[in-house]
Amino acid sequence: MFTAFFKKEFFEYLKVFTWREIKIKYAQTFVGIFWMFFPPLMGIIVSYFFLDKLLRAGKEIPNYTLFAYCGMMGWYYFSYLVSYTSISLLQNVDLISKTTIPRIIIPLAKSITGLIDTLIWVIFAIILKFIFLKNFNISLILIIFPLLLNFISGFSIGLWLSIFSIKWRDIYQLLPYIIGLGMLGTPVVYHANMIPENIKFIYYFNPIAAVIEMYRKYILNIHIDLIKFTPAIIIAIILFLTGIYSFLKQETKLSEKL
Amino acid sequence: MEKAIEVIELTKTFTKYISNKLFFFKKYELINALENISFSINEGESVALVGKNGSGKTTLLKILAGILKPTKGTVKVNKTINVLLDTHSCIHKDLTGYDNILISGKTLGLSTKEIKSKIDEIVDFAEIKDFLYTPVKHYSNGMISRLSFSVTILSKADILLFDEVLAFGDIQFQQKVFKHLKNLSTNGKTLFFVSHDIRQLITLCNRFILLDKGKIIADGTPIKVIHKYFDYLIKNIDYLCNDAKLNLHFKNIISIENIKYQITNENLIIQLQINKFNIQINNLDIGLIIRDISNILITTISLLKNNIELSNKTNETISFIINNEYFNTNYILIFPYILNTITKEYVTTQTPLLVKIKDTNITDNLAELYSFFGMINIPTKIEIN
Repeated sequence: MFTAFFKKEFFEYLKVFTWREIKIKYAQTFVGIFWMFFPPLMGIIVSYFFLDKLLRAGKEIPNYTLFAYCGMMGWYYFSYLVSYTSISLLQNVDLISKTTIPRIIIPLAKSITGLIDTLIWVIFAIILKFIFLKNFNISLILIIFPLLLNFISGFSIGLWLSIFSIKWRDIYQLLPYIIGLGMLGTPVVYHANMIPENIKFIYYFNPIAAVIEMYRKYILNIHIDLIKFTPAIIIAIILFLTGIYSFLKQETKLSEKL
Repeated sequence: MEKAIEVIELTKTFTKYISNKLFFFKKYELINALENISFSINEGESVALVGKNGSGKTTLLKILAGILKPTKGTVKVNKTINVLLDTHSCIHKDLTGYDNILISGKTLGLSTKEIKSKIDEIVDFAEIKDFLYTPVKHYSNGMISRLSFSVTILSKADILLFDEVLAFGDIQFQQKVFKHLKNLSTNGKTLFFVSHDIRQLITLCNRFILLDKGKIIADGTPIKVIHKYFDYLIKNIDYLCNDAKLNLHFKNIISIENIKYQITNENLIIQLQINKFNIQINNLDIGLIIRDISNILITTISLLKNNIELSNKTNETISFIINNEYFNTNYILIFPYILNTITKEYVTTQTPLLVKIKDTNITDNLAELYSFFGMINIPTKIEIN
């Protein structure tokens, strides 16, 4: 079942449909693909001017702008994956019900479009690191790990939601609240120390919390004990593998149910 | 000859909702879109699948293409297969014609390199050269359909399935499509068509399958299946009447109120009940216009022509007797009329009476089949300008 992912045809499909998603996303816009720079620039504006200078939200957190930016970077890609992957099947009913393309290409193409956006965030993060910390070290290359975990955790949840939404579109009604509450419950713009000790164990089971802390570790060079996030990483991997397995089993029923 | 497709006891069940609730669980029942069908298609055959709307044609096509899975039974497709179900399915309106060609070609399993190398060929076939880089939302429906179909000319699959894609485009484009499909058939490709245009299918396909309510009713030569198809089709055409009470009024002078017919071994007897409201019935002719199922005129029969005079009775029944041998078709449509011979004022019924003259003796007479559909010129050779 999983061997199809390693065939040349599969990558060709992925390449063409990702390119399709990008073209559709920026169709009929004046600025075109340069809109990719807008989310990270807004992230910088919000974290520096609004949160740091105006609200002084991180007065006890050194390099708060970069701290908050790392949180927003992780949360941006996660929420992008959850939102767009879960809705991708419904947006492409014709492709699913009238062609024989591998169905998983559709949510995957959406997720890679988001990954390209996130890479722009990463480039800006490196620039900000150079500006605020005035250093640049080789450990930045390890950022690939939180990026991978970001993809795995967001894509798996998005995929599960898309599987449920085949039968119950109530999921789409709940989605804005899932994302909103999730953001409040994850230390995107605040430090994990603010979480009460008696419920802090939940924090170590949160995959996106692991992602954000990993980004902060490799960009800010702060010490974070990643071993404590082992449950979160295991949960993300289990959700990812079971999500793909379940999706591939449902594949032939998609065109009937959508 | 190797079988390209084998279908063995195929059943496909769908959920049909029977309530219109907005919340909680809706009542539903299961229906069989296809029920225990079996057939096989040899390599190189061109097969037409016909049937009324809702008979299961598209469902069968989707199962053969692999888009749907059977509920029961097996489907074996022994060669590579491509399907064109809908000319708008792969098209995204925000993308240009060029972009959509790449996407559509990809859904047929072609590589990007192959598609790009043949783009000129596709564009020429689709006749959209001037609009290639225009977003498709500015295309007409015909242009979109031509674009979508044109990509299939690159298909390398051994089996091609087409669902209702023969009817779009102008005559020139249809001829191009027809020529291309004939070439495919000559080159040994297996073709499977779903269409309601029997005339085109007759010239493309050497085998017909008739589907009704998910079951195969007939499978064989075009003539055999089409006669059977028309039996089914005609029974369900609402605008036609059998032995109905057709009312035809001419001013307030005269009316025809009941038409009945009787078929004997030799004759067709048609009876009309005439009611007169005004005894001044001079200069009136009453008769029948008789057409075949393709609406081509067979003959007109009138009282005047037959030297039959109307009596002075207020009500009377008149009969027209026509020898069955006169009709070389299976079904006729009868339109009664009333004509003022001086003023040429004329009324006829909108709804004709349908009469089945005879059961078919199935022959391989293609000429008979063409005349059945009002095709005056039998295309023995297709000429493309």
